[in-house]
Order: sequence, then C-alpha cells, then structure tokens
Amino acid sequence: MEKAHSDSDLWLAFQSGDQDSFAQIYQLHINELISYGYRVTSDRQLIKDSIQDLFLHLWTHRENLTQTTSIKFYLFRSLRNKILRNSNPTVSSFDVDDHIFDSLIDLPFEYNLTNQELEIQQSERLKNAIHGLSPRQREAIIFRYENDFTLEEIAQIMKLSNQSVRNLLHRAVSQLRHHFEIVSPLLLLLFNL
Amino acid sequence: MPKEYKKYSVEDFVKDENFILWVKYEEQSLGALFDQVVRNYPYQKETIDQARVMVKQLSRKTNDENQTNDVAEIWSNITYEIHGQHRQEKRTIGWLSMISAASILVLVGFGIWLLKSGKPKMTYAQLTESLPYPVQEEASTPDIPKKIILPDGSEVTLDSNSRISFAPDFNGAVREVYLSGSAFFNVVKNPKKPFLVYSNEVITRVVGTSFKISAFDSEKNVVVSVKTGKVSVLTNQSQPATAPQAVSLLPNQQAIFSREEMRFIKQDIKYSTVAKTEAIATVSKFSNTPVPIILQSLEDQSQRKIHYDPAIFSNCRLTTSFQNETLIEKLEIICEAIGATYELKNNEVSIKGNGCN
Repeated sequence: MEKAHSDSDLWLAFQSGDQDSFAQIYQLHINELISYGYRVTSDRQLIKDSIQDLFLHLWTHRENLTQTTSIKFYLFRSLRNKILRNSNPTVSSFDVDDHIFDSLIDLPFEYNLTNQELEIQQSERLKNAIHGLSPRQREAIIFRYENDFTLEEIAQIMKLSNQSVRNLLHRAVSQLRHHFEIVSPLLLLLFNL
Repeated sequence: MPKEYKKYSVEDFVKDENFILWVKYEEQSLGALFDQVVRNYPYQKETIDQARVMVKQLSRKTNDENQTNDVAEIWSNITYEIHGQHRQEKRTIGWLSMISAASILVLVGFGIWLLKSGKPKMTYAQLTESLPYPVQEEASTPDIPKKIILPDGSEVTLDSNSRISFAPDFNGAVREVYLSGSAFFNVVKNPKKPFLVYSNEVITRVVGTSFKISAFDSEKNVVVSVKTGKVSVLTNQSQPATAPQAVSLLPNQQAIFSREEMRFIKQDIKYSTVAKTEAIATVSKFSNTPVPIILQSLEDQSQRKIHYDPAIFSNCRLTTSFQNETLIEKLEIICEAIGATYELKNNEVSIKGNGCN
C-alpha cells in the first residue's frame, strides 16, 4: 500500500504539471521499459520512438489521463500498445532478437571466481532455453520475473485472459526447467559452498 | 504453512508468488516459511535450491551495453519537444503551431526552389507525370463521392469527378498526395511525417488535421478550408512581392488562391456551410451495442471490408459515439475496449481477440 500511495501522489503531481515528477517517473522506469522493448523486437529505433511517443503523449495529455495506482503497469501497457501500433503491420510485430540474449552471459558480481564457470554454463543454458520460447512466452517471463507484474496485470498488458497467461507461464517454465535439469548436480555444489 | 509445498516440483516453486518474492526481495517472513519447508521436508532442499537459482536467473535485469546512451538520448528528445511547447504556451499559442511554423519555413524554401525551376501553371497531370516513384490512383465516379484510406490510415473523401494519387506506401520523409478536384481530408497526426497535398499551384501542408481542398484544373480558384487543426498553404508559383507566399490557417478559415492573380486571400468561414462532402461523416451513437453490429456499421460507412469472427465478439458490448474519428481511431477505441488487436492490410481490416465474458 505504501508504494501504491506514493505512486498515485507522484502521478497527481505530474498531472498537475510538475516537471520534476515527470522526470522522476522517467528515471524510475526507463531502464526496465528499454530492457523489455529491446528483447521483444530487434528494431531498436521502433522502441526508442515508441518510448518517446509514450512520454510525450503522457505530458501533453497529462490533465486528461486517468488516475493510476501503478505507474509501472500503466507505462508497460501503454508502451506495448505503442510498439504494436508503430510497428509495420505487415511484419510480425514481436520478433525474436537473437543477440540481446547474449547479455545473459554476464555474470552477477556476487559470485566468486570458482563459481563463475558454473554460472557461465548455467546462463548459457538459460540463454538457449529462453531463446527457444515463443515470443509471447518470453514476454510473459520478462513481465513476471523481471518486472514483478501479477498474473492479472500481465493479462491486461498482453490483452489475454488470466488463464492464457497462466498457461503461457506454465509452458515457459516447464520448457526452461527442462534445460536446467541437466546442471542440477552442479547447482547443489554451488549452494553448498 | 501450506501443505502442498511438500509435493512441489521445481516448476511449482518457480511459479509460486511467495517463492518469487522471497528469492527476489529476501523478505524475512517468507524466508522463515521456506526454511521451515526445508526443515519439515529435507528431501525438498535440492528442489528449492534449483528453483531459487532459476528464479534468480530469470529475474536478472539484463541491461544492454548502449542502454545508458539511449536513456539520455530519449530524454533529451522528450525535453526538447516539451520545452518548445512550454515557451509556446507562454505566448498562448499551442505547441503544434511551433511545428507548423517550422513547416511553413521548410515549405517556403521548397516553394522558392520550385519557383526557380520556373514552371508555369501546374495541373494534376503535370504534377503526377514526373514522380520518381510509382503511384496508386483513386478516382470517384461522376456522381458518387468515394472514401479512400491512405497507407497511414488517413482518410480522404473524394467529391465527384475527383482523383487522387499517392505512393502505395508512405516510406519517405513526408506523406505526399496529389489531388485533382475536391476532397475532404482527415489526416492521422504524425509530427515526424508531414502530410502534403499538391493541388494545381497550391501546396497544403499539415501534420494531422481535417480540411477540405477544392482544386479542379478547370476552375479559377483553389480553395483550402480548415475544419480542425492548423494548416499551412503556399504556392509553388512566383508571387507579387507584396502578396504572401504562404498563409497559415486555423479552424473555420479558408485560403482562396486565385490562379489568375496568383495570390492568396484569407477568409473566415463557418466550416459546415462550405463542406458538403464532409456531411457524409455522420455521428454514430452506440449504447451497449454488440461489437459485431458496430463493426458492421463501420464497414458500411468506410466501405472497407472488416474481417473478424462474429462468434468470438458477439458477447462484447460497447457504449460509445463516433463522429469525426478516422477509421483507424475508431478501430483503436473498439479494440482497446474489448482487448482485441486490428491489422490493416491491402485496404482491408482484420480484428483478432479473445472475446468477452
């Protein structure tokens, strides 16, 4: 509730024309919006344009926007719509971007050197596994695990039923799990260190 | 502690809301919960460890190497546009007028360029014969107006005996169309791609608005009347020094270009009295109406085939009213309301979605 409260306050301040609040909303959410965008399509200009359109639209229509308790949800839902609208309708809107997933190989800092090899194998497998997901499954996974959206929120963003989202996630997790299984003895080692 | 945890698989843990929150945010109370699961069911430890790693990996933010630059670039574009708007507001002129002002400058430059090329009177045939790209031409019959959807979704209603040419895709930096006769335009707003209408010696430039142009090769005047938005009009012909090269029009204003005198006259008008073509755009009100019926009426009005599965959308009902929206805007409103998506292809629309409960 604390978060919801501050979100609506920030939103109200922005709606009343406070440019600092507007900048704050941008700062708070821009990285996750870009990360998401760059992983659902290889067309980076499309993502940059869509984000720019989105924030300009917010500012110019600020007085007429509805109140929101989750700015993040509002932004993701609007961005997804903008991407769909701005993308060439003759091309499949959400295509796979291969090289984006290379970044998954990056190691988290908290692990020490001895764990790095395991981590690399692990990440490599996950990268391949995520690559094998359908675009919608991948989107659902990004929304759920990176962005903490609830099933209901994902359903609204993706314009699907709750059950469809549940199925998408279920299939995605099962498929990913399949790739994890192989390294399980290594994982044990990792956590017993 | 929910009993089912003893039977949970790795997948089950990975999908579990509490489990995700614990792994991601290390919330104390949840940590205690899962510690207890391990204590009670020691055989689940490996399962939980695997699930933990999987959630951690999936939750990792993966920032791209160029992302920092992009964050700054997008923000500077946004603030540039907003501050432009801010300055304009102080002078009590809308933000769009800044874009229009810029567009007039560009057009004046363009006009001068044409002037130097020394072409005399321009007709539709001359304008379209030397285009560097293939064009699509649409024409109305002698007595029936015709509605056309341009590649960007903008709508043109051609009066009788009129024709229009345009590139089958608007891939260039501007959206250009060539008009002979009379037409009402409802242009989809896109500040990045100005919309230009060439009609005889007159060029009309907008970013997104609705207006009417009357420019028959045989008539003495070219008339541009504005219904909504802001429109710049200029000529590609040499002008007497005292006459304006370009005029800027607001709603309920019109520019008359005399092809004899080669000059513009600007007038105030009451829009509804001049634009008879526009009368075809009627107000449609729907109250808790099944979506298939609304789509049927859109289909009739736009003379555009709309593909959808009536069985899926028969449960969707909508209360709304349409007046001056373009077909695209109407589709967006409908699709937003019923959680569907639409696609425009080869002048036909298809709508997909999961229906309503």
